[in-house]
Amino acid sequence: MYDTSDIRKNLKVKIDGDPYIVVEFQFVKPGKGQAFTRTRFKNMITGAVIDKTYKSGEKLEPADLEEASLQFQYRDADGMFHFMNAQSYDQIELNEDKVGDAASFLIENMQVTALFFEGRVVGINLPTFVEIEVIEAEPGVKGDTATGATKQVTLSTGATVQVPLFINQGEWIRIDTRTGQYVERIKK
Amino acid sequence: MQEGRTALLERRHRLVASIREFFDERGYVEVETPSLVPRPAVDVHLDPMEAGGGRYLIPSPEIQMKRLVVEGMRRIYQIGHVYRAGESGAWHNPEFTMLEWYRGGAGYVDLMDETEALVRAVSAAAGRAFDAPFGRRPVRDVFLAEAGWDPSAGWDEDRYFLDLVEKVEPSLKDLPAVFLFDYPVEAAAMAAPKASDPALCERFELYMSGIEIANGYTELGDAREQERRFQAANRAREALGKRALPVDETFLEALRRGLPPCAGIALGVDRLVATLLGADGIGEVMAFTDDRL
Repeated sequence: MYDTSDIRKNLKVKIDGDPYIVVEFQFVKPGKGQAFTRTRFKNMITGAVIDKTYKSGEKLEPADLEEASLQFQYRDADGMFHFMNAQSYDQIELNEDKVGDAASFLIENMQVTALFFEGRVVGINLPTFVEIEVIEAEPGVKGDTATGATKQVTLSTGATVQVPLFINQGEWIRIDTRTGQYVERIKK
Repeated sequence: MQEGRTALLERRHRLVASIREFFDERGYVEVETPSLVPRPAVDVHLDPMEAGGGRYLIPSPEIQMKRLVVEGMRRIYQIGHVYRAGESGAWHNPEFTMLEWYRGGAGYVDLMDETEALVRAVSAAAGRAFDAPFGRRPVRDVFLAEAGWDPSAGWDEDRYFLDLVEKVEPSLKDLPAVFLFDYPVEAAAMAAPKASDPALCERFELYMSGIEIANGYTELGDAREQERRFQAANRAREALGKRALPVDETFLEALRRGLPPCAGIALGVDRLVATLLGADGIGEVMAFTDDRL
């Protein structure tokens, strides 16, 4: 167990069954009164932010969290995502809910980081930049790179992104997974 | 950052000089009482630091200053360091500077007036006229408005302090200066009970922009009641798993000899300076905080 004196940024605790990370905290104490630690947490699954005030000495439950590197293998006909733990070679199957937004940019053999909470995967983190093939695009337009005009293309993962007009079907592009936006064209 | 701190420390020096000037002009005598004492005041929520040799570092100079009042000093002040274990944060440091003053013949209302005059004088020394009015609000009214209950009508210590820090203090954030006064008698510390309402005590606190700056009261002169409060505080400490503290017999003896009617107040100098200079915490206006040692 942790107590309030252990509270610091990035401490991970379990509240109402969910893992939370400390974003901010402040020691508060009236001169003639009890001490408290006002704490702001982020839910590590939903991202929701909550504030809680703890009396000094109050206990907090540590969150049993682990990270592991997984390799994405394939998505089966039922829509399940299949991964392999890069260290243990364990096979892990996750549904679309668990994979979340990461599904848009997952391609075969991609290494991702999975967050395990009490042995279960609660989230998948993609590399910051990923390279994916464009499988559907309107024909390219030459010479129009300065206007900043864009068009929508479809990637091999099924996701759609806005790209400059000169991107063609069959080309590879780099995506920033934090924003989901096009970064540049890649020569493959 | 270092230039910033240096400039702020020079400004702090001028503000502290203006505090001394304020009291000197009003006929106060600056005193220096010991930092090392064998028996600190017993308070449930103040944890004094043990210094070895059977001595504690003072969490407040209150006891010794009141003994000076008993010995005949009518107007005394002190600017000195006090020490409180386990207090660290943006507005806390285990060692900080306290201004404490006692005035014979005065009550807590006189001290609110004097504190207001002091803040205006120190603000002027900071180059800024403090024009805002000082609000004065009974604790009962603020609790009813912000937390929906009256702690002096049915005391609940845990609820009181939680609501104080979660509801009441945040509601004072936009007020440049406000006094809360007439605290529940259960939160009296060393304050005298209010003659017209035994559920209350003659205690006040000054808040500036939601930060607690000072705590003052009409001093309790009743030795028996003081002894009872020390013992109750020790029982409460033990219930919380803390050590009971030795009760200062010499202080109780002084009260038995007779404490002249007086009022006293403790004011956090680092916080006052930080607030007047617009700092985000006391660390910016202190030469060194604990985490920089």
